[in-house]
Amino acid sequence: MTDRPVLVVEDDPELRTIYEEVLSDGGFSVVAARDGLDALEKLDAGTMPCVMLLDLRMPRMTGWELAERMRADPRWSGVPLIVVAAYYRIAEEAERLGATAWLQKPIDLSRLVDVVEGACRGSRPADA
Amino acid sequence: MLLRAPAVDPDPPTPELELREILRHIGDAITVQAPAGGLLFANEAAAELLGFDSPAELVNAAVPDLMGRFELLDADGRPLPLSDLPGRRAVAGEASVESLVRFRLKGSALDHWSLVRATRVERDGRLQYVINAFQDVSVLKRRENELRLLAEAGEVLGASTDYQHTLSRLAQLVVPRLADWCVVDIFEPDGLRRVAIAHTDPAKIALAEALQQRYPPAPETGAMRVVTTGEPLLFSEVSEEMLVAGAQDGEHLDMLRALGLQSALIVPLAARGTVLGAMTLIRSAQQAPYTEADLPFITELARRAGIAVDNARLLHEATESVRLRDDFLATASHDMRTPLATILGYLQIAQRHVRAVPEPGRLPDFLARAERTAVRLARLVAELMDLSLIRAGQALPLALEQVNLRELVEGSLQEHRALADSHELIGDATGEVMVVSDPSRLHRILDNLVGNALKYSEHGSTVTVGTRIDDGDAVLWVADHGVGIPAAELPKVFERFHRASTSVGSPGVGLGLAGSRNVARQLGGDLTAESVVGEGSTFTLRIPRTPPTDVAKRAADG
Repeated sequence: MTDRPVLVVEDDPELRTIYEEVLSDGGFSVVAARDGLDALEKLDAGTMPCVMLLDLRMPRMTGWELAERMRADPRWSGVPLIVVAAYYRIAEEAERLGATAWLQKPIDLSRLVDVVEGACRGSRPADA
Repeated sequence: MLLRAPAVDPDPPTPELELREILRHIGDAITVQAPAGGLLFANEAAAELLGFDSPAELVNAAVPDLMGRFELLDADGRPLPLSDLPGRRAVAGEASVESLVRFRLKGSALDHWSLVRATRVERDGRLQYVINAFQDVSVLKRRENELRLLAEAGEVLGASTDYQHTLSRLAQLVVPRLADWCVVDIFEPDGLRRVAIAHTDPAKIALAEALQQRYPPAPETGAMRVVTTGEPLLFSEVSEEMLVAGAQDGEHLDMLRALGLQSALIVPLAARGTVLGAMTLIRSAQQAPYTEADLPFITELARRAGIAVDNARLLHEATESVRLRDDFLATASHDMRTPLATILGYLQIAQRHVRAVPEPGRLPDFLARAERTAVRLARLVAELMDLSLIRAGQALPLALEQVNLRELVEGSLQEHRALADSHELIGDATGEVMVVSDPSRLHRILDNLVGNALKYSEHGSTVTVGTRIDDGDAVLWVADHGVGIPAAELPKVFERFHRASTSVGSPGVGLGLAGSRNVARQLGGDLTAESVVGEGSTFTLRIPRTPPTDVAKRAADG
């Protein structure tokens, strides 16, 4: 397990609650953001996640835009992405964004924990 | 000399006069030609046929004058040299010549087809004269041309579902045979839209378009009136007075005059009791004016064009509504996913929490049932999304993982046994069959096959579901003891999806066999059927045990 939190970016408050609940149950600390902009603020404020769960369609700043900004910034370009969305072309989009995994909603929560665990284990602090 | 130029002859009847009288009353035109080419005799019918007031006028006309008045065409519509006229050929030496000649009197509407027979009469080996008999076959010829045009129009109208293109080709077909100028307007909510225009003189098209733009016709006139009333409009003669009366100003009048309108016919394009537009045919002075006699054929041509437009529109509407439905499917299934995720999420969390409760009573059972139902709903929603992706010809997002096919078979049997006790469901899975594939898609295909087997076999009969390794591949199969499918129809069961487009959207119908085969192929496998009529059918899903590289590449799962 790692000390670094999981950054959950999801505009649906219920799903945010569910992910937080399940992940903290699985032993992870969680930082939740309601959209891309909120996530950027949290990253700027010093959050260094071991993995980011990313929804695609969100108000203010979409998952696509957030992923692009993070890839362009050396501080966060190494953070593994897991796309969690209902979007029907999720496989292609995940590949395009360089995600390590994707889960299509509705997801199996035990699988979520497995995938997050796998990603966090492989994750190293970028720009150490 | 038997005959002579007709002259007033008050004498009592002679054999010559009797003969002349007889020829006068014969419907066919007869002329007698001297070796030098001039006419010795013509009957009344000949005068009329060649546009003269009396036989005397015809006979007295100078030869170059006479033939110079006509445009002569052969049976194929090519210009006919004077030397090829049957009479000329007979004079030149041929004993008897017969050919079809079209006579068009220049600057007049006179235009007819005659079967001309020329016979050479000799005495003592010397040419005396040539008898020309003209049989008017214009009506037959016109009918023949109409039939040919209808056949060609049928081909054009049936060739494409793009009706604008079709009507444009039709207009080109009609010009110059039926008109010098053809315009097709289609009625749309905001008025008439010109979809086709053809003219023997392309320069006139630009003029007509300029006219249409600068001086749009009043709604109660022309094509708009035909569309409103559904009745054809015939203008046998477009006179100078009509142009003056219709012109809005001097320039308008000049433009109208430049168009060279002589005669016009506007017919409705209609189908199923609705007028869809109008076809306007216009002839310049070079062609015979339209008459009532032209109406039946041109109305029929327009009727066929109307049906073609109607069919094209119906097809477009049907295609559009299918597209809208597919869009709706995709959006609806997408929008249902987030709330479903929430319901399933809380149910899963609640189940974890309830494990810590000392005496939960029936709560764990209730939660498990609620979760199973939510999972089924999620599967239906996923199926809807798959359907809309397949219909749009797109790749499914695959989620590959290790799947135990024996467990999959047993799980599916359990579910179906719980839902229906009408059949005996038997599992035939002895060993473990492990594959790397998309379990939810495999589940759906299997569900579909079992559902079909139950639907198409008698209550009380056996349905067997099995899995095995065959030739290195993993195989899932479903066998029933139903009525079976005739060999000829077997390939078609996988086509239904495309044909019965009406039944695909409803969730109860599911993927269908065509959809299942599509999913099987997207997983790198295939779905096939074998059947014996009266014994039953076996559907076999064959998939590679590890996904082919292209399938693995599409599944970006970690």
